[in-house]
Amino acid sequence: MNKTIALIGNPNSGKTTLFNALTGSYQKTGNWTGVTTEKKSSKYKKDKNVEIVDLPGLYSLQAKSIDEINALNYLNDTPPSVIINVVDATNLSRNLYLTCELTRLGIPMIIAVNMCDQLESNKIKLEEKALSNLFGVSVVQISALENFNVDLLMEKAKNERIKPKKLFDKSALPQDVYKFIDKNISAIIIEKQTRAQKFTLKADRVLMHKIWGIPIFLSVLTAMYFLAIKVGGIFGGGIANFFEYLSIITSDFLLNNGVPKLLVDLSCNVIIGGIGTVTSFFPQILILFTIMAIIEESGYSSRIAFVLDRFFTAFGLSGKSIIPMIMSCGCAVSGLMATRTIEDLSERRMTIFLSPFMPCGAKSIVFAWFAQNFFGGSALVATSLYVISIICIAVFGKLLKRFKCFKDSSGTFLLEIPTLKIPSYKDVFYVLIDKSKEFAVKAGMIIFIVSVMLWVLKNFGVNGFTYGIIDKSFLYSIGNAISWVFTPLGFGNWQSGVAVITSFFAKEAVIESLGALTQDVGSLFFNKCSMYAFMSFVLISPPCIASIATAKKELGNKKWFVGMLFFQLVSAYIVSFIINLIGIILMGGFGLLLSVLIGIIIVMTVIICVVKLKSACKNCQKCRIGENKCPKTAKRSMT
Amino acid sequence: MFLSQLKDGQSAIIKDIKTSKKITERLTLLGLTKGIKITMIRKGVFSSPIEIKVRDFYLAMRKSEADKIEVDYE
Repeated sequence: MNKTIALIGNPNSGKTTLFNALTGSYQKTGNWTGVTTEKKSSKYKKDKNVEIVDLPGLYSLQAKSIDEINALNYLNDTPPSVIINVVDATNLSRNLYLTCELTRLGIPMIIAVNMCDQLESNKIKLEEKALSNLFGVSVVQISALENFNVDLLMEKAKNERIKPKKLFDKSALPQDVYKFIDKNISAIIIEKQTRAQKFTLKADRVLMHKIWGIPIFLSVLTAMYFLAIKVGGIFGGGIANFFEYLSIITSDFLLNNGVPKLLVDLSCNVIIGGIGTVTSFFPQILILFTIMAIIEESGYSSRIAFVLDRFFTAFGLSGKSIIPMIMSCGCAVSGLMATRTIEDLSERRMTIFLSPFMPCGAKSIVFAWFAQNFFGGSALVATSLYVISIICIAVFGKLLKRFKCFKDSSGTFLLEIPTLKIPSYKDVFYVLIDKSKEFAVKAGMIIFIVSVMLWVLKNFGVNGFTYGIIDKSFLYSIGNAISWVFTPLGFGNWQSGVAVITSFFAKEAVIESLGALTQDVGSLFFNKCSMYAFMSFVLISPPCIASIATAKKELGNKKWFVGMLFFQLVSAYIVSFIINLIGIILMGGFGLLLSVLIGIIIVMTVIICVVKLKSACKNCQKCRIGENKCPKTAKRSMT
Repeated sequence: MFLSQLKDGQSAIIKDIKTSKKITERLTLLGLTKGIKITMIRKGVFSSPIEIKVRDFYLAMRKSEADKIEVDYE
């Protein structure tokens, strides 16, 4: 007989740690760094007839954001056999609010009081019996982090049939529920002295400092990039050398055995070479994700949101959009998924539009590669991608605000600041396993397909096989057909055109395709500035096919999706154009004046479109303060 | 007086929450009910956002909200 057990609890109550402890390596579904936004289910590692479901963290059953609505729909549509309500022992009174609400579902329940290891140091005594009597259910004290009593909890949960006392119905007011909790809590939590989370408070005095908060955050970022790109790069270089060696040996072997040259080229240069290129990025991605996971799991990301909120409000963005953006530094897909915690729809859309600007792992690799090969390994160039993306988010965020549909999108900023903790190595490990799997799929599928396609298009043309004459290939025609678009950006050649197209599949493919199409990448660009313009275009345009698909799913509307793609491409174009323009002015390349003029016309058209789209007030068509605030409307309603 | 006027480390009791209906609802769900003790932990640059302690947990909010939460000294 199959049983489903659902884990429900407040955010930061340690549900996911418990889920990882219960399911171990059987975990199958994607675990997005830090925040659970979709239900995850897996088999209990000690009894495969039991399915365990981890739901997004909830403060109450009054669903507001998408992840909460998803969780509630799950509970209503497919009620689990048993609910394990995970509550945080150190923060019981708020955690019990959800417990009170859960009683009205009429599903057998068990309360797991998590973080019991911290009770003693905080000088709290938990009266298990009192809690158990209050709700009429069993209570188990556990510590998911230290794997304490976790099996006992499952033994009890498997056979639990007792439904909790129905304490409240749907019409109960939150105030009344809290009154009930406040009345009873003194019997449950005893010896409550003034307790202080000394470590968290001391650390926060530094991490969330008015002045030092932001410099500390920037140093953490820089350190993360140094570790990932430089240290990871050393291992990556070794892997690249190995594959190069493998490719040479294989091709020698195949050629000596009479395999046709074309097939040798395909199997050695394209397949082994392509896999090699991608695998050589693996150490960098792995380090990046480890650090991102530690930032998430330790609770530092909420502190980052705290110190950056002021800065983001200045640009008309809400504080809630910060966390998805921080997560986008690892992977745009996780960032997009994290937008589900945003309640306000237009705020959520705005974050979906803007967060892919953040430099994800793949983008930073492209930047690091260019910095390493053409800018003498300049750290300034490698980290400048942050500056560009943050400026873009600020400027284009402001611009988006001009549209009526985004006008009132700076929602509220209410964010729990969880206790700082050293992340459990297991939680970080599971995130890493997941990310590695994803990377393997990306490397094995998308980059592989892209390189084979590139090879086919490069070697064949309208008249069949090209015999190495590149001008006759399909690729040349495709690249040429679109290259004029990029002329004003300083990279109007067919190779760059093709590289830009492949970059929409996966950013890493840029390096792969530039390498495959030309011997001298530097010669493709007019100067360093136009190369930088190319890098910026790659940085700001949509990150990869997976993120585009996720954005489409999350927006759930074709019109918005097309709007987003258009917005991101136009933004990339404008930024890239400006950078190239600065280069031309600085370096005096007046021969390109014509292309500059074309660019100016394109940019102006876009700006005019944007200005036109701004909602003009119906009263006079001149001012843009909006009808609600227009003094004329007020007068009319007065008379 | 209002929550935003508390100094770092000062505590008070919530008297009334006068934010918009939507935000008041959310604050109440988080346990900011009348009569509960609230402590100012720290203020950010230009007093926003602020971090407060309520019911054994820490919460960040903006000055615009803290300006509308009426409190009384214990």
